Amino acid sequence: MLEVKNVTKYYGTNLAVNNLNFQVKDGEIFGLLGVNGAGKTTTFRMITGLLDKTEGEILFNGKKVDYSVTDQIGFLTEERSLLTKLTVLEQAKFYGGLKGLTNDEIETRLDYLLEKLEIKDYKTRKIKELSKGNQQKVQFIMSIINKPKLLILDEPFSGLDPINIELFKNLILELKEEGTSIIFSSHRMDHVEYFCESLCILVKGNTVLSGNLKKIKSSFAKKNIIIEGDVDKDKLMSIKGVLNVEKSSQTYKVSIENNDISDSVFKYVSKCKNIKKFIVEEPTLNEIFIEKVGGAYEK
Amino acid sequence: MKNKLKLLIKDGLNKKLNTKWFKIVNILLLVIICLLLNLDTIIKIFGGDFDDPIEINIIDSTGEFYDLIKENYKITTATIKENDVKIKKAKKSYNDLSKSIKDKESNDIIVKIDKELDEYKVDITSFDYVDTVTITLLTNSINSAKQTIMLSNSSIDKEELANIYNPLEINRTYLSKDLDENHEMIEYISTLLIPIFIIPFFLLILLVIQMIGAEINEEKSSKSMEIIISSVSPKIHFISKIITSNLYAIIQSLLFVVYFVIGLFTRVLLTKTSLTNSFSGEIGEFIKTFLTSDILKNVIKCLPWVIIMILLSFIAYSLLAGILASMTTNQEDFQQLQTPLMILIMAGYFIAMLASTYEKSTFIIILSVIPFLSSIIAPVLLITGQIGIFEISIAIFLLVFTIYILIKFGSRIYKVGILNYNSNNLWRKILDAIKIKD
Repeated sequence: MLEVKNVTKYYGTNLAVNNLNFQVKDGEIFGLLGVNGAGKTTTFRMITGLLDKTEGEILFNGKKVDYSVTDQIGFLTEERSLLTKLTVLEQAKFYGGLKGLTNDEIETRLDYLLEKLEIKDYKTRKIKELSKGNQQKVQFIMSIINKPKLLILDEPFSGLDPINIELFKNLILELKEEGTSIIFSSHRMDHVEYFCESLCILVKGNTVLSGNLKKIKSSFAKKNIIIEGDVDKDKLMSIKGVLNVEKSSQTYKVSIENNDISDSVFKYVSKCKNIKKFIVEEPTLNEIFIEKVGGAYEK
Repeated sequence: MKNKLKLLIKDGLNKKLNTKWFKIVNILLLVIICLLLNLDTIIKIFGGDFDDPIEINIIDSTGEFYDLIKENYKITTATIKENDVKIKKAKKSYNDLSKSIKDKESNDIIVKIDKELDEYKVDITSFDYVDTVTITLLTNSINSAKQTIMLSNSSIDKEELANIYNPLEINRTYLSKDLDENHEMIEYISTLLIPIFIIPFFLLILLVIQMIGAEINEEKSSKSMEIIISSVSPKIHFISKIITSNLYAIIQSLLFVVYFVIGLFTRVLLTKTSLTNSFSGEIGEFIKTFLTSDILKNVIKCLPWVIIMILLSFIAYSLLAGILASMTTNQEDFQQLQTPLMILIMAGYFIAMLASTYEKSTFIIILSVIPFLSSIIAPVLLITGQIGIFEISIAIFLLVFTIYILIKFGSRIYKVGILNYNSNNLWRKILDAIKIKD
């Protein structure tokens, strides 16, 4: 289990991370979200021991994170972090060796992962000769070559097509099943919703939202109502408490201030004809994120 | 951590040594060194008139010149040039000899001396240009013979004549007891040895600096540095870079030595004689003198100090290069930052060259103990006897102290630098990093 307790980081006089707190249990996937420059990379660097904290402590399985435990940590950086002149096998031997693995252990694990990601023919190919997507696969393999107990995934699906995203998803879930604690960071909120049980959203180093995703969603005041039928958009908008109405083909998505407004909307809809669907939904993570982070969100 | 250090060193060396370019460059180096060491033999293999001695045919109608010219020429060439010229009395007429030289296009020379109305007339005939040394020696010998003839024809008696020609015996006295009797030879040898020592040192230092810069920048720009540093401490990584680059320099130096030995061995095989005899002329004389004089003993005596200085200098330069490389964000920035290092090495090189001109200059001796400059100056001054064990010990002590400072504070800069991707406020970042305690 990873525990981040009251962690603060200053670069000179600039505050990068302010009093950050979260826990990632064994076999849990935790989302660390934020716009660019929010403090995510600084947090990852502190967790992996690359940066010293100004205040607070980071414990992994009750021990301070230092070079005695970093062999159990895997880190997939947002940018490409491969020595592209090497072959896939050479790179694996180098990174695996740094994680304390023997050459035999590395090769066995590499064969398994190459097979899983359907690139076993590239084992002896130079990384620079591979496509962007395949390089991302190699980078992912390198981050999990040591079967990490803690895995940090920063934008893992970058440059991947939907089929390969599925392959990655399966491997991530396999690691979760094996008890790996995973910190997941992505600008794709649908991926975060898919994987994460709990999360933390950072804005300029400060935590603006943190906790269990289900609880966050259910406690989030704003809701959405999905309506399919013949309704008048202007009349929906005129109902007090309705924030927005979006129409896509036959469906209307009505954003409301809180759950109580759904009664008023239902009263109007019940008078309309040809109604096939009326569902009150929790907001998407994307909506929560935009609400919390504001217009600063960038893809 | 020890295993990880070993892995980093092994991987670093493997990346350098196990490349096709390393193999190609070293094959080329072997070929070039062997060619240079056997250049004279190769030139002869490709042909030319080097093996044919030049025949100087003297047609001396006066009967006075021949013996004197032959004697004068022999005396002069005995000390300064290998005797590949034969002087002989012509058995054929001028016309026959000219025709023969023209037909064969040979290098032979005809010297025709006649006396007309108490005046000597000399004609030198050759097919082609005559090399400067031979023609100078020949004309000097003829002129000298003429003076001898003129003097002997004068009223001066034989004893007086002998006195005129006898060289003066010049005795040299040195009042200082510290002077070395081999001084002139040492000076002569040092002018040859200094470039031989400095140039490979200069090249290898450059190699080490550029290797460190390229490796650190590659790891930084590829962001693989983050993965590496998340597994090993920056200090271990820093040490691994220093050890790897220095091991590489040592391996390359040893290969240079091996290529040199192979080149010499090839020379012995090609010339079918002993190594010292295989070198002719001045080089041969130089080697023989060098091997038999006390100078070799002096060089051997200085060698341990020189080796210590070289090794420490490599470490100091590589530490500085590593620190500078960690602060840069790309190879271009590093190339600019390595300029001060280049200037230091160049300064050491020029001052070392000046040392033989401004012998025992206090200023140069002071410079010889200053770290980084001392790398080249101190060994050169030691070999040429301008400084002793005391001065070289000070130079070593100061260099060791500098290395300690570079490791202590440099590793702090390195730790911050390798994860720095922004060149803004660079010097402030360096100063802030120095303040952070380990």
